[in-house]
Amino acid sequence: MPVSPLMTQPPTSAKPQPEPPQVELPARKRPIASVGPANASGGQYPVIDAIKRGETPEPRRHESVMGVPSILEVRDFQLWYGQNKALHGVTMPIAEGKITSIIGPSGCGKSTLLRSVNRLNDLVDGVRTAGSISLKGEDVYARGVDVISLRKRLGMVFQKPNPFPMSIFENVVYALRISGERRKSVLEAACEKALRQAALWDEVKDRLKSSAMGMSGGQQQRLCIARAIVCEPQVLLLDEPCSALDPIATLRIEELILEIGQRYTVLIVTHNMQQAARVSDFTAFMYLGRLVEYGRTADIFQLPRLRETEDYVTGRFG
Amino acid sequence: MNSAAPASPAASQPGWSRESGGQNRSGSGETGVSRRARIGDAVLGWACRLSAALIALMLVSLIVVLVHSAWPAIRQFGLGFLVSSDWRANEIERPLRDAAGKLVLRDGEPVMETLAPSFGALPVIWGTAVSSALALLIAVPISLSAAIFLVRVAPKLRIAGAASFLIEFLAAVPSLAFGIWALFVLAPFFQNHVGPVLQRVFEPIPGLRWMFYETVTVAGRTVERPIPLTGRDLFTGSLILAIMILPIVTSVSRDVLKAVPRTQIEGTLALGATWWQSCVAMLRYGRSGLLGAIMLGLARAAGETMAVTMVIGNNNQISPSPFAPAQTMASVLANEFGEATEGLHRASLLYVALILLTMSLVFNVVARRLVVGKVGGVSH
Repeated sequence: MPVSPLMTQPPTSAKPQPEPPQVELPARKRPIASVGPANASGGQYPVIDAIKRGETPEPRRHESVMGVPSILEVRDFQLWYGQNKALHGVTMPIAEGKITSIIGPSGCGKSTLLRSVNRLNDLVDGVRTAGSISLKGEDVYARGVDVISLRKRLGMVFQKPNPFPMSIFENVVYALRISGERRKSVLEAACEKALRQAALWDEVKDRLKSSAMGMSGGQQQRLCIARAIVCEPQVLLLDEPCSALDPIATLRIEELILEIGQRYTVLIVTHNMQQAARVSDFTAFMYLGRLVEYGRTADIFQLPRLRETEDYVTGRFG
Repeated sequence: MNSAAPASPAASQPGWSRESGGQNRSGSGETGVSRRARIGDAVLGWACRLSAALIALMLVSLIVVLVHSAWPAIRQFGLGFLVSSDWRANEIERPLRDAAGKLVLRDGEPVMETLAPSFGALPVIWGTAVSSALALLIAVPISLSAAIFLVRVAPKLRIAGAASFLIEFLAAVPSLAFGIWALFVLAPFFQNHVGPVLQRVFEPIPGLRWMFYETVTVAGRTVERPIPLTGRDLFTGSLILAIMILPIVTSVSRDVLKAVPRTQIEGTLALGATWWQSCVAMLRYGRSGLLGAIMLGLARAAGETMAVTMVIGNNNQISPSPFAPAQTMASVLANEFGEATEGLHRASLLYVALILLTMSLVFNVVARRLVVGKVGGVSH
C-alpha cells in the first residue's frame, strides 16, 4: 500500500525539553473541557490557564499562514448555543487550494466552527453568532444570503458515513438532482468523474444501481466524499471523516484526502493528531472555543511556539 | 439453567420456572424464606404464562367459532361468495322475463319465478375497499404533513407536546361521537352545500358523468337517472373514516420520522437541499415504516363500524360513483345482525366477519413488520 510521504515525518517534537514530573499525566484522554481551578496546571500552561479563567488570549498565528492567499476568512467569529458560548472570537484565514486541519480536545469547538462555515448550525435551537465568516469575500452570515446556494458551493462529509437509502448512482448525483438536473448523460458523466476522484469508481462501476447501504463503512465514506465533490465545491469540509472507520479504511481516506487536496480547498476537523500531521498543510490548535496556535503543519508539530501546543501534539496534554 | 437445580428441594416444585434456576444455584441450602419466595415466583410466572396463553387462545377460539358458525354459508357458496353480489335474505317471487326483457305470459298471466335466498360479499368488499382507499387518499397527505410538522417545526415553536396531545386525543373520541357529528353536521352540510357545488363543477367535465348518474334496469328497461345527493354516501363515509384514522397514521408516522438519523437530514442540507427536499429525503428514509403506518390506518378504516354505518347510506350495491350510498363489511354486520334469524343469513354475515377478521389480521401483521424495528416498537 502506498504511503504518503508526510507519514514518514515523526509527529513528535524535535525540541528536547526537560519534563517536570508533575505534568506526567497518566491518561491521554483526561477530561479537560471542564473549567478547573485558575491555576490547574501549576503554571505550566499559562495560555490554557487563562482560557480556563474565561479569558481569550491572543492566539499565536504564524506569519507563514497569514501571508497565504485565503479563500475563507473567519473574523472574530463567536457562537452561542443558548447561554453557552462555544466559540470565542476565532480569527483565522483558510488558505486557498490547501488542506487545513483543526485539532483540539473534545468540546474545543472545532466541529462547531466547521459547521458554522456552511451554516448547518442554523438548525440547532437557540444558536446566535457574531463576527463573520467570508467565502471568497462574501460574508456567509450577511443578511439575505441564500443559504441553499451557499451550501451548494461547499461540500461536507460527516463523522459517520451517511449514505442515503438509494442506489450508489443516485447518492452521488443527489446534489445535481435537487438542483433540477435531469439529463442522463450529464448525471452519468458527473457520477463517473466524482467516483473516480473519490477512488471508488473501479470498485463500484458494475453496481451503480445497487443500494449504497450494502457497502462497507470505508466505501460508504468515500461515496460521501464523491457525493460532496460532485458539484466541485469551493471548500470541502470534513468533520472527523475517519472517526467511525477501521485503520485500513482510515488510511485509504487519508490518501484520498491528499489526492483531493490537489484540486480542492479542504478544511478537516480531526481528533487524530497523526492524521492532521499526515494530510494537512496548515494546522490550527483550538481549546475551549479559542484558537490557540495556527501555522504550517510542520511548524505546529515540530516547532510550536507554545508549550501547550507542543504537549498537546505529542500527547502529553489533553 | 434448569440442569443446575436438581439438588435443591425447590426444583421438585411442579411449577418451577426456568428463570429462577440461576438463583437457586447460589441459594441452595438456604432457609424457607427463599423457598417461599421461589414458590411465589413460580406461581406468578405461571400466572403470567397462563394469561398470555389465554389471549392467544381467545384469538384461536374466535377464529374457530367464526368458521364454525359461518360453515353453512361457506359450504353453500364457497369462494364464490367473494365475487357474488346477491344479497337476498328471503325467498322472493317475481315475474319471469325473457332475454329481451319482455314479460313471459301464459294464459294472459305473467309467469312467476322463485328466487331462493342467496348471499354474496362483493358489494360490501367493494364498499370497504373503496371507502378505505378514499379515506387513505384523504388522510395520508394530511397525516404525513402533520408528522413532518410535529418532528421538524413544532419542537422549535415549543408546541410539539401540545400538538401531539391534541392529535392523539382525537383517537380517544368514541366512534359514536364521530358518527353523530357526521350524521347531523357533515352529511347535511354535504347535501346542501358541498354536493351541489361538486356537481356543478364536475358534471360538465366529459367522462365524469358517471359520478352523478346511475344506470338501472327498471321493469325490464335500462334507464339513466341522477343519483340523489343525500350526503349519506360513500364519500361522506370515507371522509369520516379519514378523520378517524388521522391520529394513528399521524402518531406512528411521527415516531418513524423521529427515528430518522439527524445525519441523514444534515447530509441532504449540506448538499444544498431546501427544507422541502430534506423532508422528502426524510420520508424516503422512513418509507417502510410510513407504509406500516398507512397499513395500520387501512386496518382501522376497514374495520371501523359505527360512524360509517351512520353515514354511508347502507345500500348493498356496487356503484362507481362516490356519491352513491354503499355498504361496508362492518356496516352490513351492524345493520343486519339483529334481524338475521334465518340460518343461512346469519352464517353469511359471519362469513363476512371472517373475511374482515382475516383482512385486518393481514394488514396488522404486515404493518407491524414494517414499523417495528424502525422506531423500536409501536406506541399506541
